[in-house]
Amino acid sequence: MNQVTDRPVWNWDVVWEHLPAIWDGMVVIIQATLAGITMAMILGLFLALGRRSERRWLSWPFAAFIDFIRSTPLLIQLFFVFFALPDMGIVLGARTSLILGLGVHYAAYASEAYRAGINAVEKGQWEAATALNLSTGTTWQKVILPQAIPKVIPALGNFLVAMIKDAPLGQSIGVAGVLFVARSIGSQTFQYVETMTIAGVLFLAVSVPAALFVQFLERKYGYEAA
Amino acid sequence: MPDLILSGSNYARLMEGLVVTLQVLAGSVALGTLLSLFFGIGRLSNRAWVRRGSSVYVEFARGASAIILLFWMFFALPILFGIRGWSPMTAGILALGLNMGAYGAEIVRGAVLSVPKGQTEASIALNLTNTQRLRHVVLPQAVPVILPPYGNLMIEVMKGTSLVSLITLSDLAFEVQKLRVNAVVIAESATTPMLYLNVLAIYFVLAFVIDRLFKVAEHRVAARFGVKPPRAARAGRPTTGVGITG
Amino acid sequence: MRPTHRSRLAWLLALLALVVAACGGGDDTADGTDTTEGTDTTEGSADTTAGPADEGLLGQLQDSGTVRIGIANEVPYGYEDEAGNVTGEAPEVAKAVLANLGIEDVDAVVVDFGTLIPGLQAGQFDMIAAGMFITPERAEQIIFSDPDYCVSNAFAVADGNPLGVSDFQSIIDSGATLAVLSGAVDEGYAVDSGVPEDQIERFSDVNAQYDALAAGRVDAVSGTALTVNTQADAREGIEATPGFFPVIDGVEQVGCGGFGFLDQAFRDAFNAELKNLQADGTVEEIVTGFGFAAADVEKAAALTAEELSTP
Repeated sequence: MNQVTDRPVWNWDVVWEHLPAIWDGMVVIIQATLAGITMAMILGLFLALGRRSERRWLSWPFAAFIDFIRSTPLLIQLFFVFFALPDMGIVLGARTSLILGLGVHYAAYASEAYRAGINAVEKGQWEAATALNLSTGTTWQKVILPQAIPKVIPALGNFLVAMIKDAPLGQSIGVAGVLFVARSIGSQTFQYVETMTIAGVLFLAVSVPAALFVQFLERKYGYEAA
Repeated sequence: MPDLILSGSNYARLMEGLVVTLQVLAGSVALGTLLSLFFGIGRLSNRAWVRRGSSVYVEFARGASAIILLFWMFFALPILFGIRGWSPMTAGILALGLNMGAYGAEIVRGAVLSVPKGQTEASIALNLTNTQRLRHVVLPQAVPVILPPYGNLMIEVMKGTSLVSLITLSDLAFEVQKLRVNAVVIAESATTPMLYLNVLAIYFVLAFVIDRLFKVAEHRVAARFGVKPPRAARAGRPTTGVGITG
Repeated sequence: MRPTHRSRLAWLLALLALVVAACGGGDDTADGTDTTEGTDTTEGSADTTAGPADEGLLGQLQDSGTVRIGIANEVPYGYEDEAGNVTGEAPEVAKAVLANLGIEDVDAVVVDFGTLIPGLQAGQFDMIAAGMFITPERAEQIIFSDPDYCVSNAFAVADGNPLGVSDFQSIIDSGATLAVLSGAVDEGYAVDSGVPEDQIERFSDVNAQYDALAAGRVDAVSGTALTVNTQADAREGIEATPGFFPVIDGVEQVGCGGFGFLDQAFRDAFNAELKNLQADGTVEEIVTGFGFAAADVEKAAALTAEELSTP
């Protein structure tokens, strides 16, 4: 009477039928990652500048925030944004919550990379800027940042790759990414092996080339910036 | 004014979850360390097939998403290989350990490469076997370089353990999700923000403890082997973060 | 420097011991139901018949005195109370039945609703006690006991029911966004009733749906009348619509829930005992205690899994 154990181990029809939908889920992941890394790059610089502030009442909260975000799991942070913020009056959609969560989480890491990049700019540059009577804004804009940022790019590339791997966590807050879609189809068709494997393969097909590409960029541009 | 402190029984449940988190962490780190040593040194092997095989593992394990791997192990693996009833703890440790091993391998590789070539040459001159050279000369000098990024990696794995909550393991992350049902729907004894903030705080303390332990270890190792790690590694968390070394 | 290699070996052994301990610690929930089944092969051939050689799942559970049940943390069907003890309509009935079968300890494994069936098939637990509706599609995947309750469907909406939602057609007409649970019948009801895809939001966690409603992310949640009422009572700003039975293709859908199994012998023993407890009123007492109407419990007692599994 029980047919569950009579199923074939692998059913190719399931694969072809659901591949498009699961690929759409992968596209959602890619989009969320790109949006997230953009946010992380911008917010990260802001956090780094705040952390560098000479006023302790400013630098300490920034440092504490960065440390707190880096030391706690992204999953819980996502839950907080999606489930707890509404209790405090802020209601964000699932995708927005994911992007916000990824962006803030990786901004904390990015801020450290920026800090190192800025610190690596030799003291002479600062002194020269003062000697030339440049304003703080101009110093940052025209002298420091152009030298600091190229050093940060390789790190940002690594963060991008890491973020792709974290983006599927959005399935826990309802983002219709590759994992959510695969599980959804699985629960309707009961064909878990095929859907889960497709999800994994599609994911690797995106993440591994991305990682290799970032490594290639690192090698190509990493030495020039020094 | 919502209560910042939860009830005693809530904390008791969170602590139970913490125990599971620590179990997963211990298992994953154990497996990850073994894999790191094996594949990290493997990537430096003279034999091409060992080198390439290790590289393949590192590339794929670094590219794999821990959460997808976890779900695949939970849903697909049992049916594919007919293994029924294997515990989610095993799946969690396997997935996290494999992931960690890839990053750890890079750390080990970088550290071993940082040991001065003279040491290797001297060992060969002294007629030490490869194993002896590794165990007595190279690795001891590599350890001070390994420790700082390794501590970061362990914190990353600790954060990763929260994913096992998604495959039914009652760790800290899952306990807070379950508590939400009671606290919000049934007993109305705590608010969602307070629950999550408490849990985040617990994870933070955990990360802090791990960090301190490694600082102590780095101190001891420096005293013992007399080799200080390069300045960049010592200056707190490395800039690339996420357990990735250049 | 001399003790170095010895202490490192000790560290390695300690790490290995930790791994073994951690793995061992995870497996000790229910002995005998792990990978040692013996009748499993990679092709997934029959592992459910109580083979003549081994004593079968029921025997193993009776020996160990412990059973693992899958629940979905849905109040009041199956959930963990604040102390972490498993309770709810289905677990409590299951506890009563299992006690008569000689199995005293019930461990709950909490999963997303859509994970109940694959979890059972993967051997993560021995039976499903989450008040799962018996449907023909599910009956192809697992074996059900006879039902122990029936219930109507309802919607949770914002106070005042601003969009005037009452059944699935009204959802379509009002353009409301409807939250459904992944793997639950509501998903099927919505799709089969013609609710457009862009009006359906799928959730994998049952409670997240009501969070979403409370936060205004969705306009309505579809669920059993009892779940909806429980959530509406607990949360401010939400109310429940009256219960109804969805009509799909001219057929009225009556949801009746039972217990899910993979093992035929275990299921038969459980079912026999369930019928006994239905006859002597124990089931009715337990189930109505969670808010079900007596009429619905009696209705279920008259039905069989066979009838509900036939399309």
